[in-house]
Amino acid sequence: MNISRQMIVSALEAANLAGSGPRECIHRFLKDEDVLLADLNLDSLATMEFCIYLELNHGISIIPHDVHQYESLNALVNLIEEMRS
Amino acid sequence: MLFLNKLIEHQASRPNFYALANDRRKLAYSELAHTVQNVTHYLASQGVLPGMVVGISITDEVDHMVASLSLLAIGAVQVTLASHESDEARKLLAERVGLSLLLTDKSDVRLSNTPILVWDDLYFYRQSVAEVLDKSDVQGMLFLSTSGTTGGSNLILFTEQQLSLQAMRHLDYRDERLMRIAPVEYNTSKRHRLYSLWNGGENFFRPSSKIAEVVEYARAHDVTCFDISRMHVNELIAMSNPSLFSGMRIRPGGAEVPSQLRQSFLNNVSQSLYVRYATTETGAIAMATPSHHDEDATSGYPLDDVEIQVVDHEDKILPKGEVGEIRVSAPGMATAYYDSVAQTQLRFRGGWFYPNDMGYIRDDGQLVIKGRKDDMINLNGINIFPVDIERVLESHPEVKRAVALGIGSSIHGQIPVAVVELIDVNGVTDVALQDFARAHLALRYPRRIKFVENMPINHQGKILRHEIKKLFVTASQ
Repeated sequence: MNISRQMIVSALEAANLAGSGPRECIHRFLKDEDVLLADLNLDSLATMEFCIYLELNHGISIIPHDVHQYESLNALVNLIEEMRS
Repeated sequence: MLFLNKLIEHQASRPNFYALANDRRKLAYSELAHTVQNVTHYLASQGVLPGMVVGISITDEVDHMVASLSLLAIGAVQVTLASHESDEARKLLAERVGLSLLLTDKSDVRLSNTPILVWDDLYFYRQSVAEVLDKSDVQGMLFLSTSGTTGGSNLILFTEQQLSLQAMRHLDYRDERLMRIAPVEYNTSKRHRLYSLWNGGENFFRPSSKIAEVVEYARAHDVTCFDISRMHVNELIAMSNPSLFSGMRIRPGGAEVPSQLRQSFLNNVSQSLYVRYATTETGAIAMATPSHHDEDATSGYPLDDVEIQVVDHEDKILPKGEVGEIRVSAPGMATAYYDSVAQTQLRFRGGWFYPNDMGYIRDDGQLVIKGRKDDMINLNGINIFPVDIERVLESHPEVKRAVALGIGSSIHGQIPVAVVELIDVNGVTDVALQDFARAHLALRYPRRIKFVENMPINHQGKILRHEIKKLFVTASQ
């Protein structure tokens, strides 16, 4: 798995995601499937936690509000790839 | 009777100075001691005894102060049951202090089964001069409550001796004609009026609650010292008429005044700006005078006989420039809360009072407050002071006022967020403001910004953080 995907997985696992649905989404994402952000139930707190994790652990700074501009996790992967390049 | 004895001194040394004046009545020092003695005799004849807990509910400020001085002279314990409080709050306070009698200007007031005594000002002011009371060892006491911006409030019982020691930090009142926007039913105002009377100063009271009318009245009566709340600073700036305030020292209190706001005030209102750092428990601690206002928004130097230290979590004194918890020792300060052992143990330790504020002492000795200890935000071990976020947000031209706070996160400890009041509701978006903050604060920027039409504040202009926190009760909202 590429590094950007790993970053997203670790940040999602750190964030408080409610319910079992998001966990299944992460499993699918680990198998290189794309996942819609809407399926992750990322509420405001979880989004902030997700972003802060990326920022503190990987130096990737995304404003929480901007996360929801992206439709899927693959789109976020592309964003992170751009930021890292 | 310490205060009455002082009034008798002033009666001889400055008889023509106005001790208490409003648009109904003016009492010079030549009359005040006599009036207080009249009222004291009357109260004694009605069964008021030393140590009896008496509530005052009198809205006329001259009458209220005469009643307060008389209760001190008789050695009673007084508590203000303010007319702006709800009946329920007044009743709770009365029960908390064990009220025996209510002195009130309203004959229809009822407070459970507490007996009432109706204030009859015509009777008091027409009476012939009474004899000086011979109870010089009697000491009156005064209940004051803390502002309670984080929830409940604590009660403190001050003796006349303590109040007089605090008053000695305000010797400048002797040469001042004082006006305060907050009426004496508010604790801080009442205490400052007592300080002024102790020092022989002149006290003028507001004719109404409208700021423009108060300013006009102050101007017409040559007021030299004008005490306002933090929330009135903007209103005075909006008046944009510096001539109204010439010759007047203006002292905002009750809450921090950020550096940008001070600058705006200096540019648009007056150079004579004095910003106090004080607590209910200690009285005044430090004061920033006109030469002290800079980008640190300092609280100036400690007042005479006040000691300030900055300590770490083990109470070790920190060097200058290092941020830690502030502790204070001052003559006349409280040594305990009235009915809270737990709070007393937390805030009064080893002869020091811990105001729950963080800050540091600069190399030049001035005190800089960084904010409440409880308000400090801990983001994964990164300490973030709300004031640092607020200062950046308030430097944005569209922001009127900002408050930063931390919301709980099981992963990161706390996450910084902010509530902002804009000058124009369409002036800037939350995302643009977040970008602006991030550019200045890096990791410390607020991860969420909410807009409010009016910042929740109390009568002193202090931010009601518990109300703001409710906006983020569930961050998903």
